[in-house]
Amino acid sequence: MFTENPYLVVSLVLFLIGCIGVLTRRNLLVVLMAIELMLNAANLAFLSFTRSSPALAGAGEETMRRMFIDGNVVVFFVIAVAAAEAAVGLAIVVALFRKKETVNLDRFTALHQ
Amino acid sequence: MESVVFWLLSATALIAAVLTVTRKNPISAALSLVVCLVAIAGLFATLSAHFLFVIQLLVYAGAVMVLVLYVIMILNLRDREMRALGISKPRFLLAIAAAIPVVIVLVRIAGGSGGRPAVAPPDDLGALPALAEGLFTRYLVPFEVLSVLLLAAMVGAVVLAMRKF
Repeated sequence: MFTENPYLVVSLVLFLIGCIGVLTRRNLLVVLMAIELMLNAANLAFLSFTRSSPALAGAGEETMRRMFIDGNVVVFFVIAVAAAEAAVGLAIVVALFRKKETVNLDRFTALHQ
Repeated sequence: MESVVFWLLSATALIAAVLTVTRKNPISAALSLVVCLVAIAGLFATLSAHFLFVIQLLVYAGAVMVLVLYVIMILNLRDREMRALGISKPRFLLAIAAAIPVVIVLVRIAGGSGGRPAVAPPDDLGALPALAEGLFTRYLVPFEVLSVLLLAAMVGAVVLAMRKF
């Protein structure tokens, strides 16, 4: 499938880069950016499946059109939810920075104080 | 021609993504992410998703990244702190070790024989009217729920950022 759909390889590598970023970075802002990167990798995979997927083999024009629209709508929703996530996430970063004067993830250890 | 564009955009996206997670300065990371998102928007266009190409540029590379840059500049991090917050070597090795099984599993799942569509895609596949019709008929309820979610997120962000601790 990777040879027929090279977008999947790009999507996989982008997702892994984002994943490694989330796991290794201690800067809260960069971790948020890495999460955005992973969401985009998933979007790319979604869209590539609208053009090349086992479900499309032998499908007629109508099915193809319908699957294309479904994939597009899902990606549209993901983008909108990611925008909401970014807004709330950044507001939390600002609130945390006001309290602790740092964006170092290792410093945010307390649940309550 | 199409594959040249694809590889160019992919290479740009991947290099910019690596820069995003490795830069110490969050501003350079954010600007690399903008480049990466624009390249991904280009990949969307090569998949004939013209609407999402524009949305990706407007919402992601535009609105979200401006918000991120704005917050970075508001926080006004000191140099000393940024240097301390680079990538940590032991964690990097652990993350690579954790990523290897994930790659193996994903490659095994997706590496099977898939199929390209047997017929060529219709010429007007990326046409906006069809997409709009899907969005406002079959997906009308999720669409309306989404607008409520965005409103809730907006109010939540304002309340969180204004609150005094």
